[in-house]
Amino acid sequence: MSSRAQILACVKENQPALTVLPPDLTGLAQYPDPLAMFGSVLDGIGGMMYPVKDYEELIGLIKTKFSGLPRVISTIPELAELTEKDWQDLPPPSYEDVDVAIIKAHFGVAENAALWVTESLMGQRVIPFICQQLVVLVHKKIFYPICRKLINKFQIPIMVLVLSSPVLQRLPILSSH
Amino acid sequence: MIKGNKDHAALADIFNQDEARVDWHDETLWFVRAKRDKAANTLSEWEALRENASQIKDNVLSNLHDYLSEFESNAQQNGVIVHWAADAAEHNQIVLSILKSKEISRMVKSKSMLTEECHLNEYLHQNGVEVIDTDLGERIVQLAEEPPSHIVLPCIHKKKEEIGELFHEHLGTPKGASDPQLLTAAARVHLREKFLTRRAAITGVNFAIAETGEFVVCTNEGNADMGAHLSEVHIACMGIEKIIPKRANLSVFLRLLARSATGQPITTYSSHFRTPRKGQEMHLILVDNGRTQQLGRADFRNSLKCIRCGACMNTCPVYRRSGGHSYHTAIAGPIGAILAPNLNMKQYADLPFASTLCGSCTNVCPVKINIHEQLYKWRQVIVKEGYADPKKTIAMKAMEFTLSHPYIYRNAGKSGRWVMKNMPFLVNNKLNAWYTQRDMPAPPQQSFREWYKKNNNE
Ligand code: SF4
Repeated sequence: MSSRAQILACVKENQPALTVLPPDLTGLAQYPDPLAMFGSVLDGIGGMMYPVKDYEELIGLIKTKFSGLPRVISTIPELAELTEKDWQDLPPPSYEDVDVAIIKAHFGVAENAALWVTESLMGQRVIPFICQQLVVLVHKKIFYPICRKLINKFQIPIMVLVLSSPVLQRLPILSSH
Repeated sequence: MIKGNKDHAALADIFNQDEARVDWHDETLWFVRAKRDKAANTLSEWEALRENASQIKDNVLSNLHDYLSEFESNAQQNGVIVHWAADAAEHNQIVLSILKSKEISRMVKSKSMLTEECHLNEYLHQNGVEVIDTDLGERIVQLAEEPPSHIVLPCIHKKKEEIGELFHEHLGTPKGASDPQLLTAAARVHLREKFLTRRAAITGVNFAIAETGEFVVCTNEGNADMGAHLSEVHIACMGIEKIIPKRANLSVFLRLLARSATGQPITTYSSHFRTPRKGQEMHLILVDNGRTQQLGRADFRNSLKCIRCGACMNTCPVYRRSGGHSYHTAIAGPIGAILAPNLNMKQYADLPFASTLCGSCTNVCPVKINIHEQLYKWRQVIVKEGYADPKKTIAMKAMEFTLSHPYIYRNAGKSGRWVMKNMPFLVNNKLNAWYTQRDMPAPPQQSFREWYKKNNNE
């Protein structure tokens, strides 16, 4: 008997009587101002939130924050003037020296400052991990109080990712004695 | 491995030789535990979440057969190659055969307690494959040629000076350097080179969703993602109990996991892997290795609900003072002491006794496993099966004999008191296990029985 058949048979024999899946929780904590909550949780884990009113302001912010960094890439067409062209189809290791990557998130979650990003928004899966600095753009209307069933809306994506502190945590902190 | 043929108490003695380290270990883990409490207190629905998570996992265990089949067929439809391994040996062989078929002899791996349980690194090493652990803590213990001592904080037993020494030797940092920033930066440069040049990556799996066939990997360093996204071949290894039914269930666990583990609101990266990247091969290995057997043990099956947050270790007064290596098994602490005897009752007979049964583990467990009750139950099984420590068995037999013979009991009490009073060196010595950890009490003037007799006659 194959291991598959053997394992499945053994599971069937040993599993207890069927119990029902509990209903989804209701009456969960809500935050009166999800955006403010997001900002304060983000701050607590080392990220920074910058409100901008339009792309023009965003471009100005990026120019001042990251001036002098040679390799800036983005999946956002409105930022084309700032970034490298035709970068999307290179082999993954060639993004090794990306200084700043700017991507969009589908939505943000106030409770834990998580951002939901799918592959379509990353361009290449490795981008948010390999870059030195990550900027994530999210529309201020798209903030939800808690992380819950929202992901169900995303049935198509190949990959989803939750980032909490977007800019940092690239340097894991060693425990100090 | 440190083990040899020592048991928990003997291994704890080794750890306890460095008192300053024990104090630091104890305080640091308590600090993490306190962070967990604060994080839990930010959510008014915390207890409801725990209950919900526990019930979801009950449902998983009761329907595991169907969920596994559903997961497998969905994963296959997504383009993932699914393998099944009955035990650690088969798991290791599968990994090796995938690597061989691609002629790969160097790879990166992100933290996975399952591969620790299977001793994958050793096996691959023996077969000429170099494995680099990419989680910083894991890399440190790997350089030190030690197993991890904690499932979330693998090198929590190491002082930063010791890490500096290891890095000096292996990564060329200046001698005597112990600044965490500097060491971390050095490790990062070292690991980047590995990520960029290795063609295969192994990751663990935190949750696998039956409904969609995707699996979720949670890390704080993003190292699982770096490895997986840069490699040509991604191999993910999971125990069969990691299944959850639906995507909608996932948030419950993500909200509980990081808060219970480190007090963070969520792990930095919680990545869903659904299909291989274009041009990449994605393999997934479903491993049993004793899990189906544990599923059949009604008293212990709840232990399969564990999401490996480590909260039970951080809170355990024994773990904090004896160190993870004293458990001589991949998963230390209270939950490890339940899982290990399932695999080998004789070898791990000591572990369920390494607990005060205070119940703190049960109180913090995010999926409400009755940990301390299971430890107590294992003790009974182990004694019944004849695997208990002979010293304890003899002591218990002597006790049983004394208690069932009133005359002997009376005289034993009397002579005990006499000895403690007149010849204290006979009890206050190294041969008396009780005396190692405690001061012996002053002997009472009379026994309760004598007192009762006297006072009742008056
Ligand atoms: S038994 Fe509970 S507390 Fe311990 S690691 Fe598992 S989930 Fe966490």
